[in-house]
Amino acid sequence: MKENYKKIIAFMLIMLCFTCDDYLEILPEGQENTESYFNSKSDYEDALIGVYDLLSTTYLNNILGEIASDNALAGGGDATDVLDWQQIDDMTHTADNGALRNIFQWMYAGISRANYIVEFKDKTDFEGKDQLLAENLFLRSYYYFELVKFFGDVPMYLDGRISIEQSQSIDRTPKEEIYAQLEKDLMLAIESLPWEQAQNGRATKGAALALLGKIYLYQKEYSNAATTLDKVITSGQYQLVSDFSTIFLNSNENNQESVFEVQYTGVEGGGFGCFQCVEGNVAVGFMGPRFTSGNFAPYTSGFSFNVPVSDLYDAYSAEDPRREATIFDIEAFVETRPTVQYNEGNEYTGYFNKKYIPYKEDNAGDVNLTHSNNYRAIRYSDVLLMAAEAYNIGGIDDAKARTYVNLVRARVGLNDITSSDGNLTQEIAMERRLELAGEGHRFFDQVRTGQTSTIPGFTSRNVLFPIPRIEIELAGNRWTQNDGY
Amino acid sequence: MITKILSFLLLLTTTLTMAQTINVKGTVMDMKSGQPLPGVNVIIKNTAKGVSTDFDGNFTIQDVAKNAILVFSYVGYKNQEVTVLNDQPLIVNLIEDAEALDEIVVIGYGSQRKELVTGAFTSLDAEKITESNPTRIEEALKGSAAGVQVNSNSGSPGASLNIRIRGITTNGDNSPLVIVDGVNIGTDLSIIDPNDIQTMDIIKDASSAIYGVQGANGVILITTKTGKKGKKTKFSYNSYYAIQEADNQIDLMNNLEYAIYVNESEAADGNNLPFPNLQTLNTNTDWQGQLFETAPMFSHSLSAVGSSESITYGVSASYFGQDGVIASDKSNYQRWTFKNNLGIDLSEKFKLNTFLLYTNIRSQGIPEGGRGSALYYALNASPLTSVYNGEDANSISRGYTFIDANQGSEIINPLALINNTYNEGRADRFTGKIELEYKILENLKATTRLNFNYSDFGGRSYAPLQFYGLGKVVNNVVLDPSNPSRFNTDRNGDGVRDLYSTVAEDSQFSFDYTWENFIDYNTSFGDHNISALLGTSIRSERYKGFFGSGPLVNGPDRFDNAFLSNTQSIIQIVDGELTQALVTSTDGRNENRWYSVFARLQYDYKSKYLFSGMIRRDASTKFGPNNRIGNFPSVSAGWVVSNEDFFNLEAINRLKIRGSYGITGNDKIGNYRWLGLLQGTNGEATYPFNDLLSFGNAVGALANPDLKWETNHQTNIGVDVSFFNSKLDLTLDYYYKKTEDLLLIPEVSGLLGASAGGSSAPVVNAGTIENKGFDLSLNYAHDFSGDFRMSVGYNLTTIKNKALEVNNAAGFIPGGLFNLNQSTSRFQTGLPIGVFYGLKTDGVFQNQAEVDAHANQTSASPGDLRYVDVDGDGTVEFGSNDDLTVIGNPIPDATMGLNLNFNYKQVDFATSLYASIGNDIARSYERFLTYSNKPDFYLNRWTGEGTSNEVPRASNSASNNQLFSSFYVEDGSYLRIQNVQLGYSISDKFLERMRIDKFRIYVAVNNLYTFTKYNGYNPDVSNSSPVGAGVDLGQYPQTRTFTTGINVSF
Repeated sequence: MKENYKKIIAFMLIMLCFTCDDYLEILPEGQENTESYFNSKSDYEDALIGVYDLLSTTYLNNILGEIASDNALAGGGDATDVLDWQQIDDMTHTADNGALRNIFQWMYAGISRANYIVEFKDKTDFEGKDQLLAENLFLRSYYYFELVKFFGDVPMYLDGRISIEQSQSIDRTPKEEIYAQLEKDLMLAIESLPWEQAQNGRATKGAALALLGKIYLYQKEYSNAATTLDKVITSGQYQLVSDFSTIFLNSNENNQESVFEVQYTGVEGGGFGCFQCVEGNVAVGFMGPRFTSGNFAPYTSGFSFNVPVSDLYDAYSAEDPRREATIFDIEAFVETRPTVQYNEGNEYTGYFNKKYIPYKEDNAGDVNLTHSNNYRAIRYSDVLLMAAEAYNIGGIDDAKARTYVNLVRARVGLNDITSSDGNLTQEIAMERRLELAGEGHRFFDQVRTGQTSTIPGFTSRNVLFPIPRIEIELAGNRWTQNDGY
Repeated sequence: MITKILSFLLLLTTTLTMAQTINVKGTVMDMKSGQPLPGVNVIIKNTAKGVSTDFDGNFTIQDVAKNAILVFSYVGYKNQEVTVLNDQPLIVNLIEDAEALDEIVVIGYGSQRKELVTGAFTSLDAEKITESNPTRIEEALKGSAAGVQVNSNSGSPGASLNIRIRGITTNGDNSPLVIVDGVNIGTDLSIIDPNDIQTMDIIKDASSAIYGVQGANGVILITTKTGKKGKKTKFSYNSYYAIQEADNQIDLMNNLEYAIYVNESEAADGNNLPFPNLQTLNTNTDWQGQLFETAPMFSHSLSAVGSSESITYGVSASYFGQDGVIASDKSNYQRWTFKNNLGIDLSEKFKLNTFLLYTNIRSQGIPEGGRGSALYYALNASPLTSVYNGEDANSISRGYTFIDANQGSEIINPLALINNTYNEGRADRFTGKIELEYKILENLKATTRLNFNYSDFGGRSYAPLQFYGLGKVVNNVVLDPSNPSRFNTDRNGDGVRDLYSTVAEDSQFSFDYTWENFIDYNTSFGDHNISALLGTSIRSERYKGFFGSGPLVNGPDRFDNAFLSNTQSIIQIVDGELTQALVTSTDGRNENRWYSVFARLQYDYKSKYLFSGMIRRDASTKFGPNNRIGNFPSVSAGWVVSNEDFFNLEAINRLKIRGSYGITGNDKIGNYRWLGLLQGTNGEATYPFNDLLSFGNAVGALANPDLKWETNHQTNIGVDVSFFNSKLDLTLDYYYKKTEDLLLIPEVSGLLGASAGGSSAPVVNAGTIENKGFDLSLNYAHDFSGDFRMSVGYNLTTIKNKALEVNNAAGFIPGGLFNLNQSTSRFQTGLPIGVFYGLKTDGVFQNQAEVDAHANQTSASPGDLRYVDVDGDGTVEFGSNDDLTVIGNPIPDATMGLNLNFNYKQVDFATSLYASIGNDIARSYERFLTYSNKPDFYLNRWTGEGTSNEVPRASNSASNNQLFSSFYVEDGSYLRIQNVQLGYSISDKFLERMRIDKFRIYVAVNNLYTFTKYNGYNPDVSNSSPVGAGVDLGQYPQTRTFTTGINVSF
């Protein structure tokens, strides 16, 4: 019996001497922990690419800026095709609009990634760090500015990432405060950013100045806007492309007129499940005509969204080459190509956005989502027109304002304008519409200048979009909704 | 009644007053072998008094009243009753009872006599399991075990099924733990040939706490066939051949009906009529008919079980082959299994048990079950499109007609899709154990056991250059602009081919091992019986996979040449843009570990009062150091009322009341979600500077360091009653399960940045769900004479499921898919998990006056669906939550199975029925374009006032009829004749001469008919995710099979 007890004890020892501590101490191989990153220059560089990544999602900002305005209708396959966009077009959108939530989420995703770098900005030093952090601040400012344009006051956090708990205790920051922060950040960025970058698409001093000038203009700080935008103009870094019709060609990306450009490529495939993962310009495929057969080269078919209205077409004078470069008249096209067949789609106007029309290219599937054409986010002509507006409305110098507008007009062979004061203001606004139609600026220009009467369905509430209802709930129901929603 | 009471009293008095007693001696032997049986219980009937036989089968009982009845009981043998007449030594021969063998229940780390079990168990025996020729073990459970629901994901070859034990306890993975001969085999239940199974015991209640964190979804314990000591070797051969066909087709419109519908639709939308002359419609393609064919299925299974003096073994081999009822040459499944159980008595004290199962699976498949599937295309393609265009196989169309662009940019010719589908998968898997038992004392045993699963699996696919017509999203090549009858494989026009077919290969390994050590101890003092278990376990699961793909540049452009070794990267400039077609590779790996300690104590007093308590402490790497350890206790108790002295109801020979309560856990979430990890440079943090992708890095899934277990609290109250000498058995259980701290990925504020590509919200413990209901099983067996026997089994499961808390601010998590981007289902506080949530219709607008009188509904016209203004604000909001409400529940209120068996002489007949009551299905296989084909119930559409109040008018762009609403939710209740089988066994006399024990031939029909109102293929629609269950995306239909087979044993 004694022997047996020994055996029992021995066996129990075998069982229990096994301590779990070491056995469970395993971590995934080949994956880095978020809290122990930023140990080298390349870590910072890689993280910054992650911040740039979210620029790809601004295809949606671009489309909504047109659809919401008086330039275009939602279009699409039928009246419920991307209902979120249809509602924004009709100004019937609610706080449950999915597209608006995407904007909210994606812009904050960019901000969160930028703040991840900010959080660890002091961890490791290396050469070129100031410029890297400056690019990061530019991008964060770009994302915050988009949020303010859409939603007005939005919660601002700056020092690092945010936890679930923190997200439920943060309030909406008044947009004045956000603007003040963006001005501060951009001025800091301007100091460290170069005029030229080795890689196309990176933030430059010119891009930061133009964005800062635009932010001043949105606040009606005309003098600051004029001074800041003048720095871009007088830098000599940018020139208007002489042939307007070539600005938006895929072969003319990052041209001399491009102050800031969102980069896209068709190399990587993508699908409907994750638009934010796509490296192509999703907007392009959505805006193409619904060609079905025949020879419609060099174009390819799309989903017929964001269709320009005849009011826009008619706003151009017949001799203005921008009409043909901005609006694709499919019926005129079919007259020259009788074999071509197409489906009209919803809200057919006969017109499509030619600046970002899909061209047949060898992009990876889903080919409708991966068109490679870059989005010209800030063009030099935009800078000139913004400066002109600042000089004119700010009462600073109408002559200079005229000079800048006439540069834009001369490029397309139009006569100089000679008006001043209020008339000049009107003409600058019209020039802005004609020059920048199809580029996603129109709705915000209309709201900014109060010229909203031509937007179908627009009421006073539409100066802002509603904060997505679910986001209010997820943030602990602390925020009051924008008026009228 | 009075007579009964009187006789009862009389009996009592007799017992009390009978002073004359005898000492009884005797020997108990096996009837067949004549061997003495040790350990047989000998009890004086209606008393607790009894003894056991010794090693030589001898027993002695003192002071037995004359005419008392002795009951001899022994595991695996039929009880026998002998009346004591005098003091002559008794010779009792016990008869082995095949059924009685099942009266042992495997309970995890041991087994227990069924009468002592206090938990809620269901057991199935080999005969029941193989009765309907299941291709997988899940099928055997369907309709045959109360409390267990089985739903199929697809009818395609080798398709998996979902097992739900007592409802849906989690929003995550609901699959139960499956243990085969002590080995946790993981989630793939296809690896076992059902013919190898001796018994399946299913733990439904908190008795699964002995498996702790793995036990929350229930446990299925499988015992495979092996030999028994003292029995000669028995060979069995089972085989069948079956023909399968699709059990149903969806009734679609024919060419004329379609053309009329499209005309009406275009007219309603203000367009010209596309088919002005309905007389000239020639083509009338039945796309489904083109796809479906009959396909064969084979099974062969050979086994030998037996023993020698110190060895027991069970060896088997099987082959199973199944072709699909769609594209049988490209959709098929083959499985080989080899199994061996070997038990060796190394010495008196040591015993070695080994188990080895090898499974080889080869399969091919076609796209199924969703938006890109052949069936989805077949359901939506126009009947006016022909299948073949007369071109040859080398043309750009490969001979298949293009589906017109107006039928949708993603809808293509399903036969062309199948033609271009090439893939193969394979798996080689070893499952096994080495177990050493050491009998330290007669009643103390130590066991050490190493279990493992090793799986080496992978696949290969080949995507040839394919073109399905202009603008189709799945095209991977464009036409040569200079010669549109050729593919453009030289995109930059430099005379060098730069576009090739694509090859993808993967090779994956998974390995897991469990090392368990436990001791069990049994003792009795007086009438108190105790058994105790104490053990530890460590477990590791490892996975590694390599994936590669690239353009097939070298060698012929064919599947049999499509290997990564024939691929080559291509980099060049096309139209000023850099294009790359690279040979790429990536890998994935992970490991999880568990460390556990467990203990169990079982006690009974005279087999009358039963108690069991257990606890398991688990630590898992799925959780961080903050919350790594979980404790899972459970207790249960039972009272065998029929063993009480006072119990003497003639009709009831056994009555047991049971109850249990306990906590189990679930950790089936992604790996390392407590830890914040970067995506890595292969993730989604990329941006194309200079048109070249730069690969950055960013935060991946957000971390939650405080993540902890889901805990499942379960209460069970049950009763087991046997009537009329066990002719009728009834088991009834009530259960209440509450799962707390559900692991869910909530919606989080956009401020967290989780919506960036490659990132996701953290997993949090933020939900509670409850399930309650009854399990009932009733079994009746009667042997009317030697010639006619019958048995009837009925079981019923009811489930009431409710999410008590979904704590993510929005209060719900959406799921399911309708049309292209609408969701169908919700996991929402206060509602059953996965309820259908959408607009509610209350008919069709009959005229403009009705439209005007109704709440404001955008672009409504007569003939459109009339939606209920749920929030009563005077407007039906679209794209908002305001007017959405519950419109259906995919969880059935009750499911039931009925199994009938009749034997008359050599003929046997069996049938089983299965019913599911109260489940709804969301119909989500329609494409909703003007030119999509439609199910034929649209023939009953509204065409004018009073024509229909259910089906809306033909219209597309002008209406909002294609929003998810109750119009798309159907009652999915059904009754299915699962199996009908008729067998004939050749007479014993003839067989004896041939030395054959059994020779049976049979014919059977599986899935004979389904009674249902559902319009789709099949009301048995499932989805492994609970939110999205019951959404029919065009699920591959079940097959009806006609089988002939034989069973031989010798």
